[in-house]
Amino acid sequence: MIPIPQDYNHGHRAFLQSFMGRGTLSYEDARPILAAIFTIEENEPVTPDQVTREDFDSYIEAASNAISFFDYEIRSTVHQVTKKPLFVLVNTTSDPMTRLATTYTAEEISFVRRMLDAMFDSYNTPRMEVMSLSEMDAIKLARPSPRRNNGEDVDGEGPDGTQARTQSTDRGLKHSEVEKMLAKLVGEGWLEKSAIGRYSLSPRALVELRTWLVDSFNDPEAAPGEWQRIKFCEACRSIVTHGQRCAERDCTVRLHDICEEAFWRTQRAKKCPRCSTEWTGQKFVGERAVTTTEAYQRARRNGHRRSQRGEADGNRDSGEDSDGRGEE
Amino acid sequence: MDIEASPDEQLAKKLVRYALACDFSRTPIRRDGIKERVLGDQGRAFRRVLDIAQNYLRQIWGMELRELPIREKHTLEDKRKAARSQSQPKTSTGVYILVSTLPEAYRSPAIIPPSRTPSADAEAAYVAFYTMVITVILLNGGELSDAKLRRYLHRTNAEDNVGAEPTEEVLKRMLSHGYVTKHVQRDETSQAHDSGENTTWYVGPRGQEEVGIDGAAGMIRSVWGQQDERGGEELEKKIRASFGPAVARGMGEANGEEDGWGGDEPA
Ligand SMILES: [Zn+2]
Ligand SMILES: [Zn+2]
Repeated sequence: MIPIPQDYNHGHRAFLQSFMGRGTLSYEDARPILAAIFTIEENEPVTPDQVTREDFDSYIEAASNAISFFDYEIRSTVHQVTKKPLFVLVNTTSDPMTRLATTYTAEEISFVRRMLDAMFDSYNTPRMEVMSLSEMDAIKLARPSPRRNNGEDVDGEGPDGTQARTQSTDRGLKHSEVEKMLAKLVGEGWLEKSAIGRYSLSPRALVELRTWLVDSFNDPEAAPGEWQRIKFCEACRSIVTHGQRCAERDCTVRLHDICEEAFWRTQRAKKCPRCSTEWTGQKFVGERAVTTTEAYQRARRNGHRRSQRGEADGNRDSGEDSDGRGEE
Repeated sequence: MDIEASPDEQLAKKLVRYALACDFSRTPIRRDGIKERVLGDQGRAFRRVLDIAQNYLRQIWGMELRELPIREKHTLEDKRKAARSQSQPKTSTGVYILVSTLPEAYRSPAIIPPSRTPSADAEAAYVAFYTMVITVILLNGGELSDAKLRRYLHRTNAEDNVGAEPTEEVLKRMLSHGYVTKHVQRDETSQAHDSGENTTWYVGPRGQEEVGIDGAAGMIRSVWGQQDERGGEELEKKIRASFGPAVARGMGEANGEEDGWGGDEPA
């Protein structure tokens, strides 16, 4: 019999249920929850501001111990954009495709796979590290691309071989199903939708998929310093899908906006620590790689929906300026 | 930290993980699925493994797998067929859902988040719709002909869409989630194929668990309850009259600990 932690009570169980339902939890999110639990236990009103950091830490620890036998783990992370510290409940065994296979159809799984490939391969080149998708980009992925059948990834795609098996019979998703799928992935905490409507991996997905992303998209034989698809923040060492890049295109140094300030305090000059190029702070990873392009800006100014350049798809989301004075 | 676990305990751990994953997307947890995905060639260990898993779920999560009650024989024909058949009557459905075993107080929305489907709004619309449909079925004594359902949907402006979604899709989802079930009478003299003419709707097992009589009554009071005095009285009478027989038929199995989907919940 596995040991049930001592003093583990209904309050801890309720906290765990609550955490699992949310997927991620911050101290701020947790205070009202713990206040509600303490109110029951102490039989008198406890307000959220009476809940302390120590209370929170002890519940996190209790939950963490209780679930470790089941290959769940609680890890801490920081949101790349908002800097909000978060705890993430992570599934430490199966890879994401196997996980999804429990509840998603084969077509849906292969769509997710195409989406990840698009985010970290097609839309993530040395020139443009966009690492995010507009809804239109996602809709373009609705059906398996016939090109891929004789392309490089017929063999060995996905550790479970899902991709290879379903390729021939996979009829893909309808556009309406893509929309639903995106909403579902946001709802289940895998994706986040930005203010301009682009989809990228959530903090939870980044923590949970870290190893899988590196294994799937990086070349283990690449020389040190060679461009790789998945790169890490020079300061905090977690994956950068939204941040800054060295102005030298071939240099792989990346930095989160939220890590920047503290990082430069430790450096003598605002220069790239690897190649010593002046750090402009104007070269981006993530959706700003699109929104700061000349093409995107021009498209916005002209107020027409499509730009000539494939990578600048993001401007489609600025729907308010449709039917402007386009040149077509 | 390595914990020495027996083979049965390892399987129980797998079962717990499987149940939690299914529950996350409201996929019904089926015994066949458990055998296929969890037990493999250890199918005969089902009972033993389930017992251990239940213990884990209760001790650590404050939850358990509850097997859904078997659907009663609805029609005379069903009953006759059952009587005629040689096989043992089925005593279980083999379908489970995860339910909380915590005292009522710990299940409040302040602690347990609303479910994490697409968006809070879409979820709210879905909850409101299936609660309505379940309520109407219960008001009709536990069964509702397809024609009546359609008339009702027409009256409530939901015949084509529920929110942004086609009504047929939503009904399909309700069926697959187990909020409702339907029975299609195969009439040999008629050529009708699932035309709706011979379809009857019932409250599904999940509908009984999650909504039930209490939820339906609460819904009626909160949605239709704010009428004039005469209407209100009539309503209560109707609630009593309609739900009486349904309760008598064993609908309220989980009564008492049923999470009152109360009237205070905004629809
Ligand atoms: Zn960083
Ligand atoms: Zn550099």
